[in-house]
Amino acid sequence: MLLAIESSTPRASLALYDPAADAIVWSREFTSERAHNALIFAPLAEALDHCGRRLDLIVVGRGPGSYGGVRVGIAVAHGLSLALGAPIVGLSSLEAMGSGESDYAVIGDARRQSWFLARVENGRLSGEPQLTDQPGLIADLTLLHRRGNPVYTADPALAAAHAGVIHSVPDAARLARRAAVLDPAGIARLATEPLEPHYLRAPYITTPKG
Amino acid sequence: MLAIETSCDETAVAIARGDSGEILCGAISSQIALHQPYGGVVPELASRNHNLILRPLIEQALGEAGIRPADLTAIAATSGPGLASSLLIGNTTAKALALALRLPFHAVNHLEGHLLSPFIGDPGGVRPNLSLVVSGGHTLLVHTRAAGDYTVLGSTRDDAAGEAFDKVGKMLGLPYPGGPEIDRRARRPGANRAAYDLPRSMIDSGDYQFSFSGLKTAVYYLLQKLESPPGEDTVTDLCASFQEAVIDVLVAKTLAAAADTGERLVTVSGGVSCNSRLREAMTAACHSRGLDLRIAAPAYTTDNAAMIAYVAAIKQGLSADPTRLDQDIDPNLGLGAAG
Repeated sequence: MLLAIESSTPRASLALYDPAADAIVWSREFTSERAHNALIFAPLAEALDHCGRRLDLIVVGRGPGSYGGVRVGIAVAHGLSLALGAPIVGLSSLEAMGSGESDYAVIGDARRQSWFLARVENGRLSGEPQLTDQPGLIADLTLLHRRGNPVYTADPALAAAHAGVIHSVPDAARLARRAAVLDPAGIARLATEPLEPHYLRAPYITTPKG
Repeated sequence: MLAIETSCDETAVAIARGDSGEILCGAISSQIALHQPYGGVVPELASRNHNLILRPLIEQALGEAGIRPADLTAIAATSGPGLASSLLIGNTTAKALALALRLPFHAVNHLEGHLLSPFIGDPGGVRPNLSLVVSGGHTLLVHTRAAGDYTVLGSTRDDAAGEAFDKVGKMLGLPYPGGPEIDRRARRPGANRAAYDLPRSMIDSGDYQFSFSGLKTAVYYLLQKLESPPGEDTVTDLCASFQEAVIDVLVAKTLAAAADTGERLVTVSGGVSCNSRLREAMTAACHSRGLDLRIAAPAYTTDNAAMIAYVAAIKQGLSADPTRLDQDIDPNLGLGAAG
């Protein structure tokens, strides 16, 4: 059984995928701005009971998104993995958006008056998300709309502000589907990579006076 | 049991016997070098590092203790007070471990960990005492009647004592963290503790409140008047004089609180309890009043997970209910509201 954890946005979700049936056999979602650490455990207990604590793979969405949210997902994955022995792979949460397409673009708020633009091709994040300013974002969106690519965002405010940008939240069931098609070599490679939130930039450090 | 502490900039894991609290193994990964260039702890860097370091550290501790996860009987973690983004990493990992292994989880108050750390390894357990908890984040006088029964008598209005040490160290151009460096300098032969007359803030306030920011400011203005940059001997004398001012207040208020509560045992814990002059002055003062003194062992003075395991074992011994997994961290947790 494969457990997927997606907690990079306020609407978090968990899903169990059964490879034998090629089906999502269980899923739950919950919404919280800052309390993923409190709210994830009730559905997680249900998931573990559902699969009899037999997990072959844990997949966790690395964002980009809320650092705190993603860290809860990663910490949960580590705890489960230590206890139950299943390997963990981290995938981009951007790959778990949309409505089933393999090729689309995603925009998001990268804070401090910047936005990110990312492309998903064949279901995989293609390159690093590019940071841009407001005029750059509008130029990029014009180009994407001309090409006919669907453009998604997890940020409702961005969807409201830009015509043609569709609100879509990364989802554990889609994340599980992305992980399900990985071959053993791909899993082995991803499982040895450092499991971190997808940081769009270096930490912003202010130097205190005195 | 396995205990995790990630409230600030140290990632720490300990394995202890669930019944007695005997510490079998403690592993700590310090981030001092990571934060050194910034002269203080950067929360975002601390969290990024906890996220990467915690799992290998848990595996290392289990390996050293020769224990498999399936052998564990309980899981504990700090739930506050501390940096939210740091607390989250250890607390969430611990809860997931507990859930997956079907074990009880105990959220532990970081301050209670420090408070009881002088009793780690003591077969007699926790005895009633008057406690000074003094670190980079806290300066507290606590009347401990028994494990779990605490009255906070006083705390700092501004900087914690250890924070004042670090900030003054930075002003003097000493390497981070300034506290241990000031202690080293003040021990140099010829260091004059009376070279500069610095304020003993609130020493006569008649209560158990502390304030160290005025002292820090006094050092700042003193530095403006002295040669710039100050010479080696000046820095050494400043270190000794500043340290003496802090310690005079800590010792005076601790003894007053001991007299007030009638406790015959004084305990000192937290990072600053490593300070050699504080140990010396507190030992002499307690001796002259006929008080017993117990200072946390150096290994348990800075942030560590052994003290978290110790408190969790005491809770289990008192048949305390395990903590619900839907209880969140509390960065502002106070004593008396322990999880």
